[in-house]
This record gives sequence, structure tokens and C-alpha cells, in this order.
Amino acid sequence: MAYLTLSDLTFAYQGAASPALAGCSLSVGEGEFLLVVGRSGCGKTTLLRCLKPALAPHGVTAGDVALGGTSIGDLSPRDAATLIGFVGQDPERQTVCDTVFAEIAFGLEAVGVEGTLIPGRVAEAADFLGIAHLASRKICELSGGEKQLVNLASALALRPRLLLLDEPVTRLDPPAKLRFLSAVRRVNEEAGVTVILAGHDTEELFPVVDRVVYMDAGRIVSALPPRAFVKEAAGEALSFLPTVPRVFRLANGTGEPPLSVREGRLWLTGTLGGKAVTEPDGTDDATAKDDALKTQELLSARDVWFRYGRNEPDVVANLSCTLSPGEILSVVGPNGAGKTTLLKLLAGILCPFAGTVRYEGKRGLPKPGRDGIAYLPQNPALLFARDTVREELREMTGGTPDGDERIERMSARLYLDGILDAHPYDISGGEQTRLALAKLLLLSPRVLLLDEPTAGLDPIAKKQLRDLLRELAKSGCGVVLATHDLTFAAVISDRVATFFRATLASSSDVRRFFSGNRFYTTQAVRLTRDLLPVSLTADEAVAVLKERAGGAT
Amino acid sequence: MTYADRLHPLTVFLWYLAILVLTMTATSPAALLPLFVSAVLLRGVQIGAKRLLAGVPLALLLLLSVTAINLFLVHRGAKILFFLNGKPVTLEAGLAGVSSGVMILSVILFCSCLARSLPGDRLLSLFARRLPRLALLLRMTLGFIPRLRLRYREITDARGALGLADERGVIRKIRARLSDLSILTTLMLEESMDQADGMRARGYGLPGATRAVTEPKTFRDGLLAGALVLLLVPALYPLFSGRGEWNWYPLDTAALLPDLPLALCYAAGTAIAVLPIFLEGKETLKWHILRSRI
Repeated sequence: MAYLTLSDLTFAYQGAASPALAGCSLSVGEGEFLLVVGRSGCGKTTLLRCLKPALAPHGVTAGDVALGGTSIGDLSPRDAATLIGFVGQDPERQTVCDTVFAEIAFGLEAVGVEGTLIPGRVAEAADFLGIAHLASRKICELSGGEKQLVNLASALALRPRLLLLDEPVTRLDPPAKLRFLSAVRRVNEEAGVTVILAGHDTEELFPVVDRVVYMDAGRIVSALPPRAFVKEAAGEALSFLPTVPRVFRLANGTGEPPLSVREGRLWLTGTLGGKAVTEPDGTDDATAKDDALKTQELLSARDVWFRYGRNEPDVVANLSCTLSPGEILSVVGPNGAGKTTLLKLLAGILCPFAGTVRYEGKRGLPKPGRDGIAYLPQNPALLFARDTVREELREMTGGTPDGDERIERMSARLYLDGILDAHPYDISGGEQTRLALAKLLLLSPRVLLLDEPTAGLDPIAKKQLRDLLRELAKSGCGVVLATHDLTFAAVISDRVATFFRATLASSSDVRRFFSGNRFYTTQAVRLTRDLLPVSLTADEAVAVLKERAGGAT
Repeated sequence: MTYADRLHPLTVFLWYLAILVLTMTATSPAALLPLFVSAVLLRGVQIGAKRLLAGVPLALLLLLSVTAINLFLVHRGAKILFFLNGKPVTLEAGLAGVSSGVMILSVILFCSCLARSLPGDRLLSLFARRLPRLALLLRMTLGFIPRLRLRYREITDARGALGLADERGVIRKIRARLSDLSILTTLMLEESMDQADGMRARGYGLPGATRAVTEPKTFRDGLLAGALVLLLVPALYPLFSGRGEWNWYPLDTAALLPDLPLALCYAAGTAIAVLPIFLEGKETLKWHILRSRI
């Protein structure tokens, strides 16, 4: 018996040429856990919002959505508010009150739960998610992960039967992400709440969900159990596969597709038939490369210390690092560890309390502007002050005679030419990142500092960003990335460093870094360790497997 | 954990309200002085002598400036000290100035005591039931301000690093700042849309909204409220009967000491201010004793 039924749901935003949702039909059983994947702008968010009457976007709707046999349009506003919970992408933006208790109580008060019962309901939701200890804290003092758990608790306190989650973990670091997703899993398994989650975090979710809904251009292309999705995926859908099933598919694996690392290793062991290799991979080469890079120095920090207030703890302590021309350095580590602070110190936005930052071997940093250091904040919208993309780019070229020509070239290079007249707030997250990058690149920087550039990007946008950064590095630009996207760090970086206890705890060649780590590493490494020469990415693992298959025949 | 934390916010609020009204209407030195001493003692019990003493220079400055203003602007009174620009400067004006200064200081001290006994969220929960919209607005503002400051900082940092803030010339600088502000406005508007979604998603605006009851009233609250009413009747008597009226011009030294009924009324007022010192002081003492036993 289906709990939620979408019958031929079609939706078009006002004035839009093509519909955002076209003939979506889906039936979801009570207690099912659905993952919705697809490119940015394919209609995932619109679909989720159409399922919650209070959030339904303005436009023309056709078709019907029924919850428990009742069309959601006929639900009373109170039922619609309590039965359907919603948590959005940005943890910062959804909170309303100043303290955690007030925040979780907010919905209960709004729907008119009796005042004396509210503390108990708040306690129940907070306790279930393990955030009871935060109840009297101020929201602004919480980390992003904690805020998102508070948002989930506020939705749960209303005791929903359907939970809609719109990219809930894109802004969280890996530990916070896992914590949030395991909380969602418990909500689904222990409380039987139906969950529909839209997002790109397939690695953690594929082994857990009941079905994967793949959307493209407003249509539901398929809604299959994960293993069936792995088998059937073709074309662009392949890029949404997590590492393990991706290796399986691309290496033409047979049998039931593995979803988790454990299953993947069992499959690999079977495929290799006991011919596992354990030789350590290319460590000597890596050292040689390391030394070669060290000879030149573009930007460096020496024994840098920094804290935000006299009586506050050190955010950066005794930190030294160097960046060579053409090198891409990734700084990984949890949110709030000080990665952003490090980038701001390197950009000259913050001044070290002790120690020096050197640029091209000289003390001090160049003035902000052309041919220097460019910094991309985590939220690219911070840079947008104009009404169109073109105006944004013009802001950087000023009145120079060849300005328009440079804008043309830059927008072609960053795939912005189709949206030059759009408002910077109306374009997708990936496009915003590219626009901000274009603004930076118009200054022809020699060093690029990027803060979480992959947050919220779909796999295809990530690939575009990867190609662009590689191209820049080839032309001699030094790049420092602060990221918690380990897979991206693995494909893009020359060197990786962990930010831990206010300093860079380890810094080594990308291969050595990821192959040396057991847990803080990519899925591909965990999949191939001790079975194949260590592969950092799915593509690498596939290449190794194909080579062996070729060698065997 | 102070004594006030174990009381219903309404009790604490009413108690301090009574003290503030008494202080602000106390004109005679006999009424004001005990209240001032209580204010100093209460604050001392709350924050300790060291931090209290740190505030002395500022308090003296305030006292001196209020006295000086009164001294040089008011020329009434019988005891002329000297003439300035042909205008008399009188002892009464000086004393009246000191008196006003002491009153203002007492009010400031009691207000800071109130803020400590009843932090923002408890004070707010007091109004939430009567003025739910105002309370929500306040809560939202309290949540909003730190975000606004953070965003502005992020914007100026990010654009500064692009060289967009470091413009030369006043006009260019103003334009750069205006750009920053325009980004801030747009960003915050965008964020408010999401926030509004978050509110609507949880049923905001439905009729019949309630408020969480987090602080039940206890027997102790009833006891204190009763005591407050009993003490307030005599304490407010001088104010309403007009007997407590005090005039500095001219100074009547004989009236500085009130007669017995008036003295009893002032004593009742002082008792209202002294009780919190006693209750909070007892708390501190208790902790010390408990700790010494552990």
C-alpha cells in the first residue's frame, strides 16, 4: 500500500519556458527511504517542495500528490505542518530563534501543542538525536553539523510521518555528515518515518536506502533499488554512482553489484581469485616529486601563530607550509578546525600574530588586486554586488579597453556564456562558483586560495572544476584548497595536509597521504588496499583492473 | 546557579520593578541612601568586590558630571558658595546634583543586577505569553544580529582580498562600502526567504499557537510575592501621600531625619532592596561552606 503517491505531477515556474517537473509519477511505501539524485537544477528541490504544501513554489501545477490517500492540497494546514517534516540545505538559514530549546519548541508552539507538554516533546526529539546537552546553548555558537541536527530535531518534534531532506549534508564535514545521516537512518528504521533525501552524498547512502530515484531535466528517469540502479545506470547516470559500484560497473563486474566497501572488497577478492598484490605503491617516486617541487617557492608561511582575541585559543599555532608554482595543495580537516583562517592568513586578510608569510621569497604579501593572490570564500555569493553576470565580470576589468574581450574569453572558458545576462542569485550553485572563479581569474592571480569550492556541486560540475584547476596549475598558478571532500582532494591535489590541533599535522604527496591513511582516505583506497596497487580514485582502480584483465588474457 | 534562577521570572521581574520604582521616586536622602547602599552590596554579592571596585572610576565620573551640571546650571538655593559670571553657585544645587547622581547610579546598579538575575531568554519568556509576536521578533533579532555581523565581516574580507575594498579617495571608498552593504542586504534577504520557509514548514501562522511552559511557579514564588505586596504598601505610602516629597531649595537640615512613621515606610522600602542581598549572599555563603566540607 503506497503511502505517498505522485500521479503525473507537472510543475512550471511562472514565466519559465520549460516545466521544472514533467509528468513525475512515483509511489512510495510507508517507511521507505528514498534517495533522489540528479544534476543541479534537474528538479530535485522543486519535487521535494511540491510535496510540502507550505513550501510549494509559485507556478502552474498539474497532476496530484496524495499522502495516505488524501490529496495534500486537502490536508489541513496543521496536518500538513506536522505530518510532513522538511530540512533544507543550509543549516544557518533555517533556524529562527536564538536558543536550541526555543528553536525545537518553535514548531510545537506554532501548531498549538499544549504548553506544559512542549518541554517533554523537545526533550524527546533532542534526546533521540543525541543533542539534549545542547538544549540551552545559543544557536550562533553551534557548529554547522550541530545546527543541522537541531533543524532535524525541530522537524522530528512535530512527529512527522514523511521527512523531506533537501541536500541536508552538503555543507557538513565528513564526521558531521555521517552523524546526521545515521540520525536520519535511525529515524527511518526505529521510528518508521518515510524519508526522501535529495543529494549528491551517494557513498554513504547507497548501502542504506531502499530506492534511488534518478532525475533528469524534470523527469523521473528511474526509481530502482540501489543494486538495480547500479546495473541499469548508463550515460550521465554513471557519474552519480558511488566509488564501489562505479568500479564494479566500469570494470564490467558480474553478479550482484557491491554497494559498500566491505561488499566491494569481497567482490574484488573473488574477481582476483587470490592473486592479490600487497606491494606498496610508488612511494619512492613520490618522494622524488616532493623534493623537486620544494625547490621553488611561491607562497610560504613560517611558524605562523594566530588567534582571534587575546584570551581566545590559538586557531593557528606554529604552522609552516610552502606552495610552489603550479602546485595544488589540499588542506583537509573538520569544519571549524581553522582551515578558513589559514586561507585568510595566506590571502593577507588576517595578519599573523607571530611568524611571517612570504610571497616569492620576500616577506609580506602583495597588495590585493592583479597578478597576486586571489581568495574564493566558501559562499561565492559574498562577491556578487551587481545585477547581471556580465556586470559582475565588468567589475573586475574596470574600464580597461580590452575588458569586454577578456570577459568574452573568460566566460567561454568557464561555461558562463549562456548566462551572462542572468542575475547572479538566479544561477545554480555550480554556476555561482564558476562566476566567482571567473572574477578571481580576471585578476590573473599567481596564487588561488579556494575555500570548500566543491560544496553543493554535482559530480559533473566537480569534474568541470577539476579540469579548470588542472589547467590553471599547468600554467603555473599555485592553488591551495581547503576542503573536506576527500575524493576531490585525491583527484586534484599534488600534496595534501591535514589541519589538526591548530596546525598542519601531516603534509605529504597525495598518493602517500591517501594510501598511508586507513580511515581518513577515499573509498577507492579502502576498496583496493592490499588487493590491488593502491588506487586513489574509482577511475584509477578501473584502469588497474582492466590492465590486469588484459594481461591475464 | 543563583537564587533568582530558582524563582519564576515573573517574581524576579516584579521584585526588581518595585525596587526600581522606589529608587526612581526616592527624592529624600533618607530614602535614597539605604537604597544606594543596598544596590552596591547586591552588585558586590553578585560579581564580587574586585569587579565592583573596577567600576568605581566610571561611577565617580558619572557622579561628578551630574553634580557639576546641576551646580552650574541651577542657581537656586540660599547658601551661596561663590559667583560665576555673575551667577550664584549654591550648596543646595551641589547637594541636589549629588543626590541625582546617586539615584542614577543606584538605578544603573539595580538594572545590571536585574540583567544578571534575569538573563535575556528568561526575561523574554516572561513576555512571550502576553506578547508572542514581540517575543518572537526579539528572539529572531537576537539570532539575526550575530549572523549579520559575521556576514558583513565575510563580505568585506572576501572583497577586500580581491582589491575591491582598497579604493583610494573618499567617494570610491564610500562606493565600495555601499557595494558591501548592498551585498549584505541581498544576502540577508535571501537568507530570510529560507528562514521564512523554515517557519512555514513548521506551521508558523496557524491559529491557536501556544507557548512552551518551561518555568512553573512554586511555593517560594508565592511566598516572595506575598512579602512584596506586604512591604510595598508602606513603602509606596510616602509617594502617594505626598509626605515623602523633598525639596533641596532651600535645604531644611531638620527634615533630613524623618519622623518615625516615615522612617518605618523607608525601612519597608529598604527591606525590599535588602532581601535579594540576603538571599543571594546566603547562596554564596552556602556554596563556600559546602565546598569547604567536600
